[in-house]
This record gives sequence, structure tokens and C-alpha cells, in this order.
Amino acid sequence: MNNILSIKKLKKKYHTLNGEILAIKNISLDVNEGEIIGIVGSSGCGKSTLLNILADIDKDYSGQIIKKQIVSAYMLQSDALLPWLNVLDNACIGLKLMHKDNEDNINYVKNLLESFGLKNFIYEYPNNLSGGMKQRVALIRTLAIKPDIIFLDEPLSALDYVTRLTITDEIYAIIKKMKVTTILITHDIAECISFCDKVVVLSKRPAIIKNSYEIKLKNKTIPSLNRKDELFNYYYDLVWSDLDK
Amino acid sequence: MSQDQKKYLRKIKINKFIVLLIQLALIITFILMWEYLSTKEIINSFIFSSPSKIIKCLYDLYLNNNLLYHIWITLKEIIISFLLGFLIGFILAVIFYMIPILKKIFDPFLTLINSLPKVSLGPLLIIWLGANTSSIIVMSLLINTIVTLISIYNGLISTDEYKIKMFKTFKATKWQILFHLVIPHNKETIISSLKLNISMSLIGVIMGEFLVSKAGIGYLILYGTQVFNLNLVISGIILIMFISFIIYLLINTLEK
Repeated sequence: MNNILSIKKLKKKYHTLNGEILAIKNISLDVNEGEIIGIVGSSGCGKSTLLNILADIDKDYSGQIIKKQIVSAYMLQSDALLPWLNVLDNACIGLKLMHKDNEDNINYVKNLLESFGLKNFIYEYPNNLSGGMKQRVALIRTLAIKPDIIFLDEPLSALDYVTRLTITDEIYAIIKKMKVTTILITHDIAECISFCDKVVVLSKRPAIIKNSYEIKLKNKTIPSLNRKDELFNYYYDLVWSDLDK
Repeated sequence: MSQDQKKYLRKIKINKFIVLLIQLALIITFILMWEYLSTKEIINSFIFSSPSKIIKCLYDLYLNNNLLYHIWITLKEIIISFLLGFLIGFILAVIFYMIPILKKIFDPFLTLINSLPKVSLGPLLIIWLGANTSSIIVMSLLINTIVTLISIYNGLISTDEYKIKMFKTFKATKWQILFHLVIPHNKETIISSLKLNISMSLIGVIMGEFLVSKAGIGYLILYGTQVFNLNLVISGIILIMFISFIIYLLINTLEK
């Protein structure tokens, strides 16, 4: 597999009036093309900080991040849809900001919306959508710029449990269909194991990689069914014991 | 539409109608009581005037071609100071938002100016700018600009952090964030600052007219006080209320 992203000895400090806070101590990680990697850790351990660095939002770090000429996109915890724009305009906002909102790309987004069950909602406003639909639009907005890699920062944390399970399956289907390399950040171990090919466990702050596991379920299908796999509990216990230490 | 839905809509309509009816009844009762008490000399009609005297006073002013002239003078000053105050306040709010260090530098000065009773600057304005319209407009600007600046700035800085972050993930520039997100996100704040600005402009203009004017509603009120013509004073106050109400309605329409 082709290596798409390489993180070497990443370190991140915050400066406050009371002194320095080390958020990330030492993280090295290789990400291969098409892989879905889950990063799990307790709240406040530095997961989102890591993602901000990978997505170029935070450029104040030491260490090395080697990226190929890739387009990356980021999906946040909140859907962050703009209430004054309709679904199509919301989904195209990234294209517009990057000056790529030509007819071909807009049609591409329309097709994405149609193929992911939003055909009848293209000209609706976010207020008229359910929480799950909003997250789908947010994902399509992320995918609209045709990224090589996407970063998902607890994208479903705002949803109720049942919607979350359904949407996890849908997002998984979309990502697999589009063969996009994905890094998912979550504190939900079950979500991480059922969704990802590889799970990386982070320690409490300052973050280091405690362990990483290739998830080899007996019958890997969609996330909601993966939770019923024989080996699911085995991986769950491994990750849980890492986090519990 | 189901019967229940129709019933629900009818209930809302009836509620609205009742509120309007009570409001009208209160106004009419107030006017009639005022007229009655004044005519029967239960209250001193010289000090408290009466609705009929006010109508007569306004009609006399109209006949002398003075009424519309005074209204126009005040309205013109309000419009100029309202537009200037909003524009300056808005531009400063945006500059402070884009360059946060400027806000930090100017913050104590803004607090100082905001807490200063502006009327105390009146004599200085007259000396610096002369006893003319400029003094009135500057007096109004001193009052409305800072209020506009503070309310819009507070709106801009409270823009949803997640949405800003979402824009940054698409490598948006500061200007793109401003024009595509921050300003549209604060449409309601901007409109409510317009409402605030209009009442501040009105206060400023009337205050300014009290100090230096030769015409306008403030002048009418001041003149009425000097010659002890309280019909004129109360007529002036009613005119101000009326103008303020009309402008408020216009902004509400704009909001919709």
C-alpha cells in the first residue's frame, strides 16, 4: 500500500501565563492510502489537537509531517451548516471558498446528495433536516472537494445513540465507496473498532501512542454488524485495558 | 387542513386580535380621560394640556407652514446621523474584529467615551463646530456610534467557533471568513443594532437641538418651554414618538 501521510516525532506545546502545557509528547504514525484509522483516547488527551495539526489548522508544532501532494478535508463534531444557505449551497461552500465551484463540481455534489438520500432536500434549508441528514450534508461538504484523505473529529457525538448507529453505517458506506483514506477521532471504543481498519490508542495528556491494533474481524461488513462479530469484544477489551491503565 | 389545525390557527388569530383591541382601548381611554380631566379642570390644562389643544396646536403649526419644515429638519438630522453612526460603528467593529490588538488598545478609551454623559460635550461642540447642524449631528454621532460599534463587535466575536473552524479547514482567508460567514451570521445582530442606533440617533439629535438649533422638533420643545407654551412642548414630544415609531416600523419591515 502507498504511504499517504507520515507523522514523525510530533510534539505540541501550549503556552499559558502559568507555564507550558505539553499536549502531544511524541507521536509517530504512518497512514496508507485507503486505510481507515481510528484514534481513540480519553477526553482532553490531545486527539483534536492532533487532527488540527494534520489538517493544517494548527501550524505551531515540532516534528515532521510528510504529506504527498494531497487534498485533505476535515469533518467536525458539529455539522456547522450555515442556516442561511440551502443544502446544495452548504455542500458546495468548500468548493466556493477554494474557487472550485464550477459546473462540473456542482453537478458532482448534486450527484453525491442524490445518491446519499438527499435528492428531495437539495433546496431545503438546514432547519428542515434531521440531525442525521445534517451530518450527511456535512460529510458531503467534506467530500465535495474530492479529498485524498479526510479527518473525522467525533463527527457523530452530537447525535442520539440510534441515529448514530445508522449514520455510522451510512458514512462508512460513503467512505468505502469513494475509497477515501480516513482518520477518525473518537472516545467511543465500540465505534472506533467497528468502523476502522486500525485503532491507535492514545495515552492521557501529554499524548503518546500507547498501542495500535490492526482490526481483523472474522466477518467484516458494516459497523453496526461488526459490533456483533466474534472478535469484537476481544479488541474492545484490549483497547479498554489500554485506556484504563 | 384538519379541524384541530384550523382551531389552533383561529385561537392564535383571536389572541392577536384581543391584544390589539386592549392596546387600542388603553390608548383611547387614556386620551379620553386626559381630555375629560383637562376640560373639567380636574387637572391643570395649562400645565398638562389636552388632546384637543395638541391637535389644534399641530394644526396651527401646519397652517403656518412650520410643522412639516420642523419635522423635515429633525428627520434629516436623524437620517444623516443614523446612517453615519451605523456606517462608522460597523466599519470600526469590523476593523476591531479583523485586528484584535486594536480593540485591546482602544478598549479603555471606548469605555471612557461611552460612560461620559455626552451632553457635557455640548458647549465644546458649539465652540468647535459652531451653533449649526454639524454640532447636532456630531452630538448624535457621539451617542450612537459607540453603541453600534459595541453591539456589532460583540456579535462578530460570538460567531460560532465551529463554523469558523469549518471555513479554516477549507483554507478560507480572513476576508472570506468575514464576508461569507461572520457578517451573514450576524445579520440579526446588525438589524438589532440598527434599531438601537435609531433610538440613539433620535436622543442625540433632540439633545443637540436643545443646545444649538434654530429649527426642528427639539427646537419647538425648547421654544415652547421658554415661552411656557406647554401645548407646543407636548406636541413636540408626540411628534418625536410618532417619528420614532414610523422609523422602527420601517426597520421591522426591512428585517422581515
